[in-house]
Amino acid sequence: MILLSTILLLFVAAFFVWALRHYLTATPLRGWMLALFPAGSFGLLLWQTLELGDSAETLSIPWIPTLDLSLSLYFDPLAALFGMLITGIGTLIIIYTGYYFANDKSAWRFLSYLFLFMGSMLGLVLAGDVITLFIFWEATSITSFLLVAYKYKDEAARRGAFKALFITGGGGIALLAGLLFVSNIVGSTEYATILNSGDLLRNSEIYLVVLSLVAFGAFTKSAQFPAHIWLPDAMSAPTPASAFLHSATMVKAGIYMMARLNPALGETEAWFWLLSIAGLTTMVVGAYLGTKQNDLKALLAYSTISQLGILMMLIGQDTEIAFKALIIGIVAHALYKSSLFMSVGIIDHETGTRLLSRLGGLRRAMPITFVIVVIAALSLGGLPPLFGFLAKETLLATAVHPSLPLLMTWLFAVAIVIAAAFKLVQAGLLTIDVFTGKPRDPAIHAHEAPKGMLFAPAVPALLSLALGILPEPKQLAEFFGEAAAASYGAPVKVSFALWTGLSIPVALSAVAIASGMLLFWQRQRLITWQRQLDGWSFNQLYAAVLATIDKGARAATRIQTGKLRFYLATFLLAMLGLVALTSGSAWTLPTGQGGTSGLHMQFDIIRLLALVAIVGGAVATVVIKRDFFAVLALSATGLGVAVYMIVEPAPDVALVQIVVDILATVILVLAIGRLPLRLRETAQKLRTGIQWPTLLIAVTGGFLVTWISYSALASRPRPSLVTPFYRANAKILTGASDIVGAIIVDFRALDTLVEIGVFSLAGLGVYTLLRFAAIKHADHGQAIDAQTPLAPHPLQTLGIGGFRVSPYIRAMGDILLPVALVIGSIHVLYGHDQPGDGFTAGVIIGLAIGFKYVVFGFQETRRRLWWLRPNILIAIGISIAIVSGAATTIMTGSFLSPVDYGEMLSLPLPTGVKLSSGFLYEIAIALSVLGSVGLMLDTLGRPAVDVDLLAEPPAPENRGN
Amino acid sequence: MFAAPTLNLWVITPLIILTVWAIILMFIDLFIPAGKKQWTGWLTLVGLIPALALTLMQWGQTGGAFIAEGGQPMVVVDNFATFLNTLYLLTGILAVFISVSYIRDAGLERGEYYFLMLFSIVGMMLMGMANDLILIFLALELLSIPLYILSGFDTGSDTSEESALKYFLLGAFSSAFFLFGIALTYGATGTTSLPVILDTISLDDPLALAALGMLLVGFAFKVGAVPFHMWTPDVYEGAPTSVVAFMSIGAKVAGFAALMRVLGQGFPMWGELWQPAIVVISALTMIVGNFAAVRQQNIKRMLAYSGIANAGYILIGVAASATDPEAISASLYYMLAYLFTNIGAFAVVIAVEKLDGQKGLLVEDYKGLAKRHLLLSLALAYFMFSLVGIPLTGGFTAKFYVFGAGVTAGLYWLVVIGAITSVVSAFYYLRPVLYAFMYEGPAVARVSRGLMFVLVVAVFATLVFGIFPGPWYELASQATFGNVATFVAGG
Repeated sequence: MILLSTILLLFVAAFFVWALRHYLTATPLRGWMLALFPAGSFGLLLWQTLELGDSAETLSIPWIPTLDLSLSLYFDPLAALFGMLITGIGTLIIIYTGYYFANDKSAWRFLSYLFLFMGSMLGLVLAGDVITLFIFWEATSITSFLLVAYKYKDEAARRGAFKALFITGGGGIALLAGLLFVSNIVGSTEYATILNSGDLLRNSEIYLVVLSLVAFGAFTKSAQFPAHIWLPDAMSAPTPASAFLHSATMVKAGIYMMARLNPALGETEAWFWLLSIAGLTTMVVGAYLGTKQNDLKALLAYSTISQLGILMMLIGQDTEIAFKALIIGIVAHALYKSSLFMSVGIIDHETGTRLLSRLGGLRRAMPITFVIVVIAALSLGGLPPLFGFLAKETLLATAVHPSLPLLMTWLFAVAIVIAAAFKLVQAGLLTIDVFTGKPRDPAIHAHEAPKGMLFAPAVPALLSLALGILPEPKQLAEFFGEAAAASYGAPVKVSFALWTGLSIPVALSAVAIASGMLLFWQRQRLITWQRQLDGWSFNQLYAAVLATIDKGARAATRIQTGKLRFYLATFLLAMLGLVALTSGSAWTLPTGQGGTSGLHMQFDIIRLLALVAIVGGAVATVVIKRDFFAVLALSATGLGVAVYMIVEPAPDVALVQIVVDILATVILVLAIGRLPLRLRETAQKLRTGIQWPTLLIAVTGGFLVTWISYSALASRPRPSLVTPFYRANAKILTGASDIVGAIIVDFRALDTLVEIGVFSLAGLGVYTLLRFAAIKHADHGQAIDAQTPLAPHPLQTLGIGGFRVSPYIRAMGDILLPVALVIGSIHVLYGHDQPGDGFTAGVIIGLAIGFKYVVFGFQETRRRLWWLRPNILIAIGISIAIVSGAATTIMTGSFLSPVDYGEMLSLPLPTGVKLSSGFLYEIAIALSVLGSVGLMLDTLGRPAVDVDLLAEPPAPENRGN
Repeated sequence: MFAAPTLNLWVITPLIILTVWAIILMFIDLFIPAGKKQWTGWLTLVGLIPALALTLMQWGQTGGAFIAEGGQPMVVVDNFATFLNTLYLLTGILAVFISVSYIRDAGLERGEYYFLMLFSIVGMMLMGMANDLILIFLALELLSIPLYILSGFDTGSDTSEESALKYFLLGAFSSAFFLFGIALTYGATGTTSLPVILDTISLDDPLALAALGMLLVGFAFKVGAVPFHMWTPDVYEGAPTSVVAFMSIGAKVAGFAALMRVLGQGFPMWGELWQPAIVVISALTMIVGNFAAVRQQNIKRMLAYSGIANAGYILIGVAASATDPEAISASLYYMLAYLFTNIGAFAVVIAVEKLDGQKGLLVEDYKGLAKRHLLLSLALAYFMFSLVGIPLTGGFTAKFYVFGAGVTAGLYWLVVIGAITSVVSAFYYLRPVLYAFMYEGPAVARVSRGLMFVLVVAVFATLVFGIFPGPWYELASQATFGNVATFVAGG
């Protein structure tokens, strides 16, 4: 719990800053006071470290017990080392921030972000399982985003912040994926288990995938080449943030992660090569690029990159000395780099610039800063007697370790010497060029910073010195050794002795120092030469990634043309692909054998004619340009299908097909009749001829469907299961001798109920959309016959559109409705025993009404059919169905089950007529269908004459992109 | 009477309540004067809340009703259905709160809006409860037709009408394939009842495989999976925003409900065969959805692509369920978390949208929002974080579960694609947030009380799912088919 409290303390601090933002004065005192939080956290960690036994301390809070997930902490010397670096340097940073933002009351925001970051960072290193780690990992990405974008009005700050967030946050997700794989292989998300399952992981077949994902996450976070590009841009953060994030903490997260996972994932060839090459490249590139920077912060940023490369490379090794070098390198870098960052911040603060070209001769004005920078920079340059020297020595010792292949030894040694030489140049630039000589810019009037502000960078600088020259503190060395051992997986001995006798590393070190001095002496030439080589940077890679995303986005949106035709084609193609994918392998040529029913190859003249009607109608629908004729052709197709069904024989289905086909035609004709003529003409002109690609897709689709249907018929594995069942049971169970009637009303009563609901909704939909559109267009149902008739147009069919029709047809219109009512009643009454049912009844009556609309026009029809209230018919219909269903429930315990009321009450009914629940249901169906049809007709029959619309060009089809 | 007529009326009680209330509401609406139609809206809750209460009481119970041939019920209630029904009803309730002020201000206030929504919810619920392909088809239509109408509810607006027409035509097209799939299934097995299909299907029947392909087309369309997604951006952009908020969750979840039940109960033994199809669709959906979203300037279109992308993530769980039926719990949980995040995001969009002439819908229109509406902007940021999948949000835990399910099922590359596309998604999700917080601009918003309620609920729920996902995931894992023995008639 103490461990948890070290993290919580920092989050409490963030809250504290926010809560007291109006009361905390903008004086340095604010920083000193707030520094108590991280200091307290540091103290607790120190105490815990001293208490720490041989094994790691863990704490687990169950989170999702079902998945065996918990939020855990894992505390061992490695975590302790990082934790103390974070809180220790954090304390100094907070003090420093107090001075940096003195007189800025709004800086509470910065302080609170800083605490949030610190808490997340501490959480990251103390995390004991994959999920906790990931949560804190992303939290550091987000909080560092806030810190970098603190000066958000500055475009550069926004860009830099987004770049950092994108690269590190994205890497975090890759890391999560990798760690999920790890957990999956190991069977647990806990470190304690993962770290002991190294062999399992290394032998896993997806080891390389895991390794790449984890390494990708770590490399992005720790600014490894070529993902390093975010770090220099993140320098737009206020200096305290840079000093903290980019020296000791955030960029070390990837290092920590890899060091932590070394026992589990490391010690393989792939691990060695991946980390060595990445680290080596990063080290050289960082050192090289840092030297040519003019901005001191950028210089420090590149030197950080270089150091991160060194550390990453060290983790890749499989030798004891490497991990000794790793721990020393981490600590040395954290000390001198934070000190240098803070000093640069002071210089910037006191002179108003941090450009090398403007600075110089600050030694007189800022003596203390000078001393601090000298110490830290010498450590950076790897000169004795500072801690940085030791770091470089051990590094070189690693490079010449006999276990390495000779080629690698050479490569390492040369690279390290080059990098070390460049670093020495950087150290020189930081000290000699900035502090000695004459001021380059006379406008700059420097003065020394307040003593308190100097305290913060002085502490780590002095520690760099102390660790180098003081007699070896035994406990500390042991602690470092334990931390290294936690990462190495075997004991590591650490000593701080600077001089270990004349050896190859010392010799190499001397070469490095000598060449560094040489380079520094010739620095003008070097930097000029370097700047001439400019022009290519890895920012282009980032830009390329962004461009790829943009290209991908373009490609992904290109198919989104907004054109329906195109969507349909894609749809069809995708359907073909999908069907091929699911069933492609299983198809064999249908042989017609094995099927029980076989394929009936009957062909007679009726079937042939029907076929001609179906195919011809379908083709004509596509080819014909005039809309009315196309609709009629479509209708012919439907009727052709109906003929087939009659021949089959399936009279019920055929009946439904016929009435629905006619109804659809009537509705389409009415709908088209409402459209403004000019719009229709334009649309017809737009109907182009056959387009070959479209035709190809259509033919392929048709062929596939035909193929499937053919094999469906040819190799049907068994005859219908249901027909015999219904044939046997319909009469007994439901009292119906028409199977289809029985299915609709009894066996599948629920389907039917939903279906009439859907049908009613469709009617309601037509009504809602068209009526309200009409009202919006200020059309109050004014009849067309009341207006001046438009000039006759060849496209208009007779009978609608306000033309007077012949008396013969008017008489038909009058007769048809009563006849339809009679037929409908018969369908309802005898639906149980013969073709026809409530649905056909409703549609047939509806058709007669539709005929009236066509013949008489809207107003007269409304006058004649004043009793027709479609809404009420629908409501009564559905209500009867539900009430009747509920009644049968009460009586038989089954919803919509058959009950014969006529028999129960022994009513004297004519033969064949039954007053049963089925009968009531038929009535319900008929009424709601009639209501829905009536609603559509009423809406569509209403003329929508809007003169304005006639003049309007066709609405553009889309705005898709 | 035939075939075990024990009726479990309680199985469909929530449906009956909603249907009857919708019909009653049609009549009540006639007496509500034109300016006061918000009452119809609030009265919708009178149906939704009891239905929700009853649905919650059905948790843990299993039963069926309407025994069809083959002795299997056509409608079943199990934890799977109950879990999803709860989702629809919650969506419906939140959608009412979103809609009331929105449709009034947009000049669309008509009573039909609400009972169409109720009918659509009935259809959605039936999608998850249907145990029979024909009933699934009917449910699909019942849920879709009201949505077609609602999409075109802004009559007179070209975009809204275009949206409705496209949705309708493509929807009808996909329905045709779905029907063909049912017919082929029937041809191969002689039945449309899922449990009977399971019993009778022969393993290498190409006919049944083709049928499965056709059925998948219908579902893929409904959930907006690539390459059947193309209607989504156009429809989302054109339809009234409150309708989009409703259907972007309801219709999608319903599509998944039926997909999961058909695959999980009708064709589970074919996992090896349909898994590749789902994997391909899932990968395409994540890639196309996320990449296309990057370029969107209109926030509704962006959220449309985001919806597509999220369908891809949900499909990971479905793909994983081919080998482990329990894996759909990840997808179920995902949908639960997505519900709140997404409706919250749409609530923000509605708050910023200006109803005079479709303004305030560009991502750029969010510039400077935080200056005037800090809390709203924070809510926006939180929802967007959740959609990216950043920890401490429901979106993170949801992604975590589906990725976890994918890893367990060995779908490594699918998970990697999921991870990479999540990174890409940060691009477009964070843009409105950046604009709101870091740029100067004139963005203003109006937060009605209804919206406020939805925002608070959504933030709270997303937070709870982000921090305490355990119990909710537990519920989701009880809702998988593995925990439901069989649907014995009357059981």
